[in-house]
Amino acid sequence: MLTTWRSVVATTAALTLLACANVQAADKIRIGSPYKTTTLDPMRSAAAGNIETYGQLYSRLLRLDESGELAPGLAESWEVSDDGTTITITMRDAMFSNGETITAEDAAFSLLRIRDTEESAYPAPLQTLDTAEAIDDKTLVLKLKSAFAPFLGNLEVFNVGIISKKDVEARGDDAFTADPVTSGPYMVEEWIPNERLVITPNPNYWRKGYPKNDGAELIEVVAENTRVSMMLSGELDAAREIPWSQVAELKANDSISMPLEPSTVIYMVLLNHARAPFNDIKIRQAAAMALDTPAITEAMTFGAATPANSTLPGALRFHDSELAVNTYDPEAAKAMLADSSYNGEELVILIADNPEREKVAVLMQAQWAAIGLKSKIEKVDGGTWWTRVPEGDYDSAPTWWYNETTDPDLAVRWAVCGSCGNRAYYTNYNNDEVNALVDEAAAELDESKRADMYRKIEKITTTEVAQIPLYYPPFANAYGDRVKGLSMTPALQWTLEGAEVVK
Amino acid sequence: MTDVATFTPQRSTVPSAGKLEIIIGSAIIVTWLAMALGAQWIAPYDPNTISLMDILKGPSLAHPFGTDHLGRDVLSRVIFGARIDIWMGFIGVLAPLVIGVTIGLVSGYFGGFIDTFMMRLVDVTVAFPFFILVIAIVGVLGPGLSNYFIALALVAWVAYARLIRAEVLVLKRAEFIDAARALGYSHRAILLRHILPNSLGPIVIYAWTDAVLVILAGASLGFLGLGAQPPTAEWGVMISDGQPYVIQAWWICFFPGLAAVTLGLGLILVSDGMSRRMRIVQ
Repeated sequence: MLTTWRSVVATTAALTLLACANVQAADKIRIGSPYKTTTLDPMRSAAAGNIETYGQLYSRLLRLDESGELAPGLAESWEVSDDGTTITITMRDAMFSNGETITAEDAAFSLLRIRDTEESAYPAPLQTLDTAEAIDDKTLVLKLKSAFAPFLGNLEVFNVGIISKKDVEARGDDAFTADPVTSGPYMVEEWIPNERLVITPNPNYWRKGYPKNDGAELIEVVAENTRVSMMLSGELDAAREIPWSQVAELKANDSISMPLEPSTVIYMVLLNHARAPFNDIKIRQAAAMALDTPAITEAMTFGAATPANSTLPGALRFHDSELAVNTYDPEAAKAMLADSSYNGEELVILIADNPEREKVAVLMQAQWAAIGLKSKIEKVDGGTWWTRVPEGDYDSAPTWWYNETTDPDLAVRWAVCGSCGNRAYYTNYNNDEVNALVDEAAAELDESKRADMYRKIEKITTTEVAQIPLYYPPFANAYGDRVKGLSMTPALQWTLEGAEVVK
Repeated sequence: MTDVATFTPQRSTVPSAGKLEIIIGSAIIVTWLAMALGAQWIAPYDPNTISLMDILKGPSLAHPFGTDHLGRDVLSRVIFGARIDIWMGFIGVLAPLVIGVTIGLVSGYFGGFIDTFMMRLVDVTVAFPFFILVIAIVGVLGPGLSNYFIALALVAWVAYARLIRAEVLVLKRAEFIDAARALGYSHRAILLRHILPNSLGPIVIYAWTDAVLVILAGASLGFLGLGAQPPTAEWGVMISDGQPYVIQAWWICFFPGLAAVTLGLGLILVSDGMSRRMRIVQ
């Protein structure tokens, strides 16, 4: 009898302890996302999931303030020489999570590592960087190969977080995987790959008074309906990618807000210009004209997104909002197709296996069929998609992309520049005038002239149908009322450090 | 234990045994067959016509089963889906049945090396879970209905082969077979005209049950994106299409699911009824 009582007491005590532990854990902000963290090294990935995480672990030289303007980050101040090729940066007094000072040497090391390392997933933002040299602990001199207007903006991109040179050299490149020394608002408390990443405030973070919370749990929740029910039951404080069909329902819920934040995401259709039928501009224009862009936007996002009017994301600087959305005119498209080199062959719509992609593909197929453009849908897994598209083994492929900054330079290089490495997002679109404009605009320091050049690029590529733009979706993130001040920037970064738990 | 007469129908001691099941089951199957054959007259709409004005509308008079995420009429898609699914059941049973029966007959009748070889092949195939093997084969060949049939033919024949071999092993020692041999009939004639007709009973019953399995497996493959390809109206594909909307538009998944269940029920009932009758006869 005695033993029974003892075990009851022990169990109760244990349960009480557990309950306390739970209360403590509940103070963390819980964010559910379909995208998982796969590496903690900011250089090694450019995938959604990691992009959000990097911003929480690593500070960059510059940051975006609340209004989206460039503001000092680890760089306290900077000076650009008159010819635009030399940038002198004064470092802030700041420390890594292990208490060591962040020096100019660390910054130079971090930048060059991204530019030069073979495993670097996204070296493009630093391609114009020629040398990065630490004059002393506080002074960093960056020399560019040529004047490059968007360079300062590129110092804010997700992967250029500053890491500790000493730590990498002492522990090796793989040290990041489990337990990185961080420079950002948080450090890693626990990481269970394919499940969750638990982060806790970095006591040495340079922004005093931040983070305003006890950390967060970034939880992988793949099924969208599960994210919705976890939001409704209060198991999550925020959730990424609420299905469009359920946005209205969550909006109507008093304890959940759905602000539909602006993003630099664009949904569009890649066309393969390297082979028939889409090597013929008339067929491309007919294919674009056959699509009822506003109706597709409405059907796909239930009115949450805006129809796209150009090949570039609408939230970019210098974007020409005056451009007309592609005119829907099946009759004219039919006539144009009859007048083209199209001989009735069946083209391939290649999609990654995903309900949203499948839905848009079926819509495209039906509207193309209405003008006599025959197509068949080929559904493959994501890995195969990413092999076949770069190899040019497709005719059309609906997909999306986003730009890391609001500056259009990286966007035009990614999507429409035929001489920039990825052959205009693997479409093989190649227009010499556009290619020249991409470089000229980057070197132009006069804002209004730059704006004109980007608008010209938008106009040419949209008229020539480099790709078929569909719509600009906002971020469909849901936020519970337990947390105040959490949002997502167009560059896919959570404003987590300023968020507070209020209940 | 005399001759063929053992297997000729006799008056059953319980005349109604299994009869009700067969009647109900057949009624369900005939209804579905009629819907499949007459789909273009019965269905109120074209199954693939997209109507962006009518997305995710609940059941109403105009659309008794509601509309899906592209505004297509779910009722029409369910009716047209019957074509694909019944066709799937038919081909998916016929191909393995023909292969399995042939192999089982030859293997059981001749015995020896052929028998050993074939039966080890059967053992190997049976060692893998049915579904995993089918998915693996379809994964290699690529998604689509015809590849599903190939996968089925490669996997599902073993059950038929085993069943018929067991029958043949018993039959080939029967006196009427000895008699046929003594009269100088060729192996072919004995196999096709004496053994095959007398060993088909269990196969036919099994085939009905197998049809259920084949249809449900095909629908599951459609759900996984490996079976019928969009925009084909197929029940599994429809359930998969509706899955993201299941919270606010249950009808997209529910009605194709119900269709698959009723057709499966019909087939099971017939198979059950037939086996009960046969047991009594024997």
